[in-house]
Amino acid sequence: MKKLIFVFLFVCTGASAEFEISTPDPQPQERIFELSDPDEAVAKLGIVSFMIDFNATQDDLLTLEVRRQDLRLADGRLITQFAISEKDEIIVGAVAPVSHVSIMGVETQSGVRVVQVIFYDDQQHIISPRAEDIGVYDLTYAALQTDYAPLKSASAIDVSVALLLDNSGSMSAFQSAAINSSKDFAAGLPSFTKCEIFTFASDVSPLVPGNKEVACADTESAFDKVSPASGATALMNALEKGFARTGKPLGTDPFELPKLVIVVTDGINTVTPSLPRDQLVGLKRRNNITTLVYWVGHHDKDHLQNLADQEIVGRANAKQDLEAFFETIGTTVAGVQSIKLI
Amino acid sequence: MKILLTIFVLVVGFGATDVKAQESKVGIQLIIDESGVISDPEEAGIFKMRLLAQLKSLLRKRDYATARLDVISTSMGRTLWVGELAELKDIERAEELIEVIETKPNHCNNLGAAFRELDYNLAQRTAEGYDKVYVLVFSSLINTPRDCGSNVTIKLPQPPPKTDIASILTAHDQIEQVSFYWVNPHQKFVWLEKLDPAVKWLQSSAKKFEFHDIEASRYALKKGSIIEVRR
Repeated sequence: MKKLIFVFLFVCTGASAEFEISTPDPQPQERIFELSDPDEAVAKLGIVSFMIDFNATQDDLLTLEVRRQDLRLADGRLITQFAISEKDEIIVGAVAPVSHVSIMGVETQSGVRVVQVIFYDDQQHIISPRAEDIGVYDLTYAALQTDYAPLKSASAIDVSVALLLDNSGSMSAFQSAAINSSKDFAAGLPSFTKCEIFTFASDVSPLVPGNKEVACADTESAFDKVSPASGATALMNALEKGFARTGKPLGTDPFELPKLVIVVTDGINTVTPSLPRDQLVGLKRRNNITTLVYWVGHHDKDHLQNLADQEIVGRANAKQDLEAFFETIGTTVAGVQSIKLI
Repeated sequence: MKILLTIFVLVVGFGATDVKAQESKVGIQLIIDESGVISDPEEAGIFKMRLLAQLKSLLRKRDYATARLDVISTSMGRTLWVGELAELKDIERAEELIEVIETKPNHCNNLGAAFRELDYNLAQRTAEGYDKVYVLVFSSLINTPRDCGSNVTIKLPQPPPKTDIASILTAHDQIEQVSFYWVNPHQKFVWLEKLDPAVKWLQSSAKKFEFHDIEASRYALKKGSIIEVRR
């Protein structure tokens, strides 16, 4: 052992005499590895403020998630109101003056999706916001490209309504309810909406003198001239009058709303029609007519096949049901905006 | 005498074996919110202690003598205390647990991670043959995942984390009971909607589901019997 230590000392002292040992970089080396504790990031909370968002207290989970995304318009403004169609995976958002948004449906027209929306202001009036004040998003919150031109004047929108009121003898019990709710409906439509009103029994008679379209809001006095209910039911001839109004050919204007024919009747046709049924169906289609029928009491589901788009059958309270029927149509006629997704 | 003792040992021995065979292997998963965003933190601290006291009182029932307790921290998103309920009699172990569940005012809250940890723990207990698992959640269900920043404004109601909690709770048939305590009332309905599939499954499987907001927790935790013992 002593011998080994001696050799070691000899080698070391000998080496120190002959070699110089130095590090290539005289500067102290920096650490290569950074050690950090991820749990340190947990203890970072400072001042916490809680804010109760009363707008969100009734939100379901999806609505709340969308609300907390703070969606913005292309120009950076924060969306303040929105509606979601989960089924269609669409969110429509808007800023002031919109205070409420309602998605009525999403349709596909010639391969293009069109969202039907109603916008309201804070007075609950239906409004047409500017294109730059709305945005459409999918459920991943990605903004979608849209083509939207607000419909807000008679020149931009062609809403035409024909009201066909059954005045045959069997309607006598419902005449008052039908006239009053029709009158309120017409009076509540925007000034740009045009109305034609017919009553029908054995014949079809225009209620507005001169058989012409007038502003719906100006038709109130005409309803006072309805004669007492009597006679047969010329339902098909009344439909012909309603369908005969000229409409733009289908598909030429994506923002065009169909012309509406609204029928209130209590029974089937009992007068020989002047047009065969297939021609009546063709007339409806050519003129882009949508027919909504309110059946007071009786209903034959096949009677208006291909002639009616929607049929509502009244229940016990004709007055209440008719009011609800017209209120729904009124809302739709007055303010549905179409937003094309491109 | 020798014969008598043999008979005694045999009888007791067989008896003991029988009891052992029938004993359930019980697990308790306690998710505890010790973050700085728990509502009414001081009072929450008192009720956390009540919860612990009630867990300890379960030791009076034979099934729970060897029950395993996993305590998951919502701020860390990890299990921070594991032991048998019986260990709560040990003052050092009890103090360790109290330290774990105490509110840390500067801690963020990671509810998603806490429920993912629960999922892991449930899978482990299933693999280990636990046949009854009780899930207790003491949290205001307000989330501020790390790194949450120093000054935070939280709008309530707040959407729950994306973690599929309903799937976690329905994936293990061993779960006997799921109870939520100290839920902020503004978080109640969005969380109930999120948990809805689990609630339906638990109820249709005759399992117990409870969801107590703060006020209801005060009542439930004072009343006791947080775990419904069923045979």
